Parts: sequence; structure tokens; C-alpha cells
Amino acid sequence: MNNKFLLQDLVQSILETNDLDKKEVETFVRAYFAVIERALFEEEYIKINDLGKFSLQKVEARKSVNVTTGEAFEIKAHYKLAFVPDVKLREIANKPFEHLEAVELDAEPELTQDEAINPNKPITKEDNIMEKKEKTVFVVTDKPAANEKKTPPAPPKPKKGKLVAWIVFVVIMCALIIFALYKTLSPDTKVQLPVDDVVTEIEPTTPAVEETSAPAPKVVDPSSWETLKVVRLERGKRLTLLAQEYYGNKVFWVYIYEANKDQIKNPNKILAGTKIRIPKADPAVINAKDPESVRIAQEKETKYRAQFSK
Amino acid sequence: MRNNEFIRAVRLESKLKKEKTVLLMEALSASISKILSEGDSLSIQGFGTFELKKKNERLSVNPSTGKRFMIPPKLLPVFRPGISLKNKVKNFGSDEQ
Repeated sequence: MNNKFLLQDLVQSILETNDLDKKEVETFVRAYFAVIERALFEEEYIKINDLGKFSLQKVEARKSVNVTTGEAFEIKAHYKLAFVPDVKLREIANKPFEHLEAVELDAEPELTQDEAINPNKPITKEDNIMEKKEKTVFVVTDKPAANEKKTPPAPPKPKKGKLVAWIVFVVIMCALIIFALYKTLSPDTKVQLPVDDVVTEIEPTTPAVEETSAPAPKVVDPSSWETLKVVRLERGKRLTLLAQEYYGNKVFWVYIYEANKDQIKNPNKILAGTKIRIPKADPAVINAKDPESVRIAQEKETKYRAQFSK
Repeated sequence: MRNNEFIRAVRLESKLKKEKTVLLMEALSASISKILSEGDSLSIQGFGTFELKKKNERLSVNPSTGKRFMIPPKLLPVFRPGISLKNKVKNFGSDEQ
């Protein structure tokens, strides 16, 4: 490993495989590399079986800045040498990692997924905020479990009598056992959820969304709204952009999503070319100038973010 | 330049017989493969260095489906031209004009 072989060692290694004259082999090896070099400058391209391709590639002139002085200067157009190894050579070199294959990872927690998806899309400040929100949501869902553990031990402190203390102790033990059982059981049930089809995930959660937005008295169902326009989603475009365009605030993408639920399985991943129905805005619900309607939309947004980040 | 032209050019350059040249060609490729597969590097004075480079594993996302893939690490043979060759290549265009 990590030995540096020189031309002499190469000659030696060739000699091991056949019984040729050492001098002949050496002249051959020198000729070999001399010809590669000559061919490069004559034709800018040379292909050798089992080894690879060498070629000269032009690098266009470009502007640069001297790092120390800050002075602008131009890097002149020049050539560079490119080597593309032959498939055979590549396979031999990659032997140690040969057995590894690209693995699809969608059963993993969402945080990494978000990091992976976002680089594809222009990252706006809002996105960063969203991510932060998501993270906090994540933490919050974990906390109740932790609290359950911590709160039960509190009661023993006020000592009213041995009997009471004993009862409390038994109750705590029961609670802990139930909690432990729940914990050991829950991973199985949790594992099943992501495996289920996305559709089944959406169905149970949507009523919950409506309920929580119930503090706002109106029950909103954008799918019944009149259609303002049907848009074909372009590459790189997102619901938030459409919402900005048609309703004047990104937050209202939730209503576009709700109106197109049958089309969109996951608002984070919509196929380009999907036909999106933009519902006509009901000024009572969608009003960029009304902080209340923005707030309601934001609540929905956090819900969906949490839902689809699982 | 293609492979058969290359073999011919090397034959003329080294003044060896055709059979020997073909034989040596294969032996040389095999030797380079062997050296690289053992994790060693090969430097040819005045030409450059063949060596292995490890590419780390990375995440890749299929932009149309949004599916994420973990691309495994791999070892890639690379060639680093030596200083003299590199400079010749660099000045290649300007000499011509």
C-alpha cells in the first residue's frame, strides 16, 4: 500500500509476467510514454485500450482576483490534461468497494432529507425559518414522552403518611411499567407508519388539521372553491411561489395544496408538469393584508410541514 | 489517436517486432492495473503519476422523483501530469499561435 513505483519498478513488474529482455522492455516502456506525449500534442487526443483516454482540454480565459492584493487580473486561456480511466482499469481499482451499491434512503428521519432536497432549490430566508420551525416541532413532539417520566416522581415529596407514600410508589411503578411497555411496543407501530402508502398517512391527519384550525370559526374547504386558473407546474416552481403570485403571500400555499390534495401526495415533492388548480381567493380567508388570515395559514403550514417531515 | 495507431507508433518508436509490442502492451496495462489495485502509485519521470483517489460516499437526489440515494465510496484511478508535461500542456495553445 502507498508505495511509489517508478519506471524501473514498472519494467520489473512487466518482466515478471514474461521472459523478455530487460532492455527491450525498458525501451518499450519509454517509447510508450513518449508516444502518448507526442500524440497528445499532435492530435490532442489519445485512447489506449485497458488504460484510458488522455486528452487536452481548453480552459477559457477568465477573470480572477489576487487574493493578497485584491487586484483583478485575467487568467489566460490555456490547456489542461484530462485522463479518463478505462472501465476495466476502473473496475480493477475499485475492487475493495465493488460490493457497495447505491442505497435508496427514504426510511430515514426527515431532517437529513430536508438538507438533501433543499440544495436543489433556491434556498430563501423563509426556507431557513421553516427548517428551524420544523426542528422545534420535532423537539416538541418528543418532549411529552420525557415529561411523563419526570412528573410522576414529583408527588412523593409531600410526605403525608407511610401508606400514602406506598400507594404513590405503587402507582409510579405501574406508570413506569406501562410507560416501558408502551415504549417497547411503540417502535414497531412507528416503523409501520412510514412504510404505509403516503395516501393512508394523509387521510387520518387531515381531519386533525381541520380540528386544530377550528379556533377560527370558519370551516375552510378550498377544494370546493371556484377555480381561478389551472396552472401546469414548471420545473423548479413551488406552491409557495404560486401563492405569492396569486394571493400576495407565500403562506397561502396551504390553500392551493388543500385544493389539489388529490393531485399532490406530498407538497414537498411535486412532479413537474402536474396540473395545479388555483382556487379563487375568498377574501375572508385569503387576505395578505389581514394578519389573522395569515396567522391561520401559518398554523396550517406548520401542521403540514410537520406532517410531511415524517 | 486510436489504439491501433498507438500500437503502430510505439512499435516504430521502440523498433520492436509487432508481436512483442502487442504482448508488451497488454503486460504494461496489466502491470499498471496491478500496481494501482494494490493501492500503490506509479510515477513516470517527465510524464506523470498514476494513482488511486478515494471518493467519499455522498448523498444524491434524483431531481425528478426526489428519491435520495447514498452513493457508496469508491476508488478511482487518476493521472496527475508531471510538472514538465503540465507546463507543456499549459503552453500548448500559445506556442501554436
